[in-house]
Amino acid sequence: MLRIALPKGRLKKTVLQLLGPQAPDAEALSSRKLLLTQGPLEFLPLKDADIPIYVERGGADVGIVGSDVLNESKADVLEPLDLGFGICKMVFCGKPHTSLAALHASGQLRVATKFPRTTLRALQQRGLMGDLIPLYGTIEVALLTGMATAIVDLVETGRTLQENGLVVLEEVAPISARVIANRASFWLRRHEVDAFLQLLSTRANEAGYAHFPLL
Amino acid sequence: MKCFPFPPSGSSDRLTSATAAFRRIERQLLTCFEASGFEEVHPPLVDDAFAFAFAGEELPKIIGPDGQILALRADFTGPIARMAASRYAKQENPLKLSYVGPVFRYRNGFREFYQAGVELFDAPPEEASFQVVQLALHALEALGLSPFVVLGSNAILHALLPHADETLRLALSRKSHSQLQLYCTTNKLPENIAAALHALLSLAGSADVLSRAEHMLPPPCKMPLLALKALISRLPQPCVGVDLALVRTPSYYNDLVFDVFVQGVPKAVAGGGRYDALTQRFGAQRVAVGAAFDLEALCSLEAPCPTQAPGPSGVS
Repeated sequence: MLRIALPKGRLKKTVLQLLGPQAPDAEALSSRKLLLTQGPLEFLPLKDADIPIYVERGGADVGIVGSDVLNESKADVLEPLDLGFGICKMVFCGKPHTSLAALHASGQLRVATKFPRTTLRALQQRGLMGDLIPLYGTIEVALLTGMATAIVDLVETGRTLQENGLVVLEEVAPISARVIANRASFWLRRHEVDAFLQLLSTRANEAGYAHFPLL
Repeated sequence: MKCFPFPPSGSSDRLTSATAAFRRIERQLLTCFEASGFEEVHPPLVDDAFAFAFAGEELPKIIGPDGQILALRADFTGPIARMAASRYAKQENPLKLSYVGPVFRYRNGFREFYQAGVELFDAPPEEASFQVVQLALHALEALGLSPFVVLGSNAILHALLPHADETLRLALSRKSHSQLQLYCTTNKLPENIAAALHALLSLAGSADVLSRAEHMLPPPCKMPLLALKALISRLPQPCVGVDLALVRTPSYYNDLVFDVFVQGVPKAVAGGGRYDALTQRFGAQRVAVGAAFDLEALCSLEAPCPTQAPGPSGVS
């Protein structure tokens, strides 16, 4: 039985819609059960950040996860399908009329983020040195209080930024939902994994998502 | 001074039952290697940092008393290639060497890995590749496992793009179309090359992938495809897969590469490939192919489940 890691975070609703009749039923989802069986598939609802590690270590054969979480993870997994939804951007934000280069030059670059590895990589790629402030909650507050001079965060509509008088300084990476697979499962359960990828690819196609690779 | 009662992160004590399991697997592998004519060698634990196939940040380095850069053994292949290029330079027959022991690398912190493997120098490439892949399968079968081998060729990537960097290799190894597309756009790769690279990602499956590949990939890829086809025709079909996006680290593999999986282990338990240019580093030219086995991964299958591991008093 193919075991699938399901995200409990922001992608949950769309993933369940996409799975349609193959998704675990509402009753099972709201129960206290940790492993949900639906036909030939077994679902494992998990905290998003845990999904890459479950898939790498074989706790699940495949998983669906945002590339924001995937880029932040060290897990060594296959990433055979970009589902083309859950689209947003990982960006550097700050107060208006500032730039990363200027903050760097004045020695005032202090970056708060929930994505420390992604941020460190982005700083290194740009040849910037700064103080990294890893946080778990709302990041914008760090900027408003002056604790940080820039933040790295996900931006979907940009409304939170706008309401707080903040702007996007630079783009780090485009983000979307990905299907990931365990390296051994990909080969040892190839037909099941293939069928699952095919199913999601077809559904993403029907839903009009700009998924990749195209059918 | 009181000392912390456990080894530091990345190192671990192997207790009695795990050690017994380890030895059992190690012995079985060495018996298998020996039956195929491989003789065991043992390169030093501390060596010239430049002798290793792995390099850079992954090497746990030591500065010697004269300022030379030394490192804890990061792999067996580099030092054994050096032996082939120096100590065994005059041997005319194919050179068949095997090894077993720990290697050390920084990978998410300090780590000790235990490996066993074989290296075959100077044998006709087609035959040698077959022998080593077959040995990898037989050795795992002898352990009571049903191995599945996935074959690829770095020569195909080389034919498409002679200077593939780490970013590209990572995108291919993860089968990530999105990362690959980003790479192709950023580096302004010609459309036909980008299309061929994307095709590599979808060229994974059973042996018939190779026939599809002939139509999808440009002519320079033909030779390595034919070599793979010849190799696969000699292996038992149900346990063979083809993955043309298979890239392995380190990057010295120049042609055939392979990974071997077994049920119950979430990563490859063995792997290897051809490294025909590595001996050049030590002033010789000896074509070579090798395979390494991950003993920890194989031991995880044995599931020793000790009755009760002796713990220090006061720690529950």
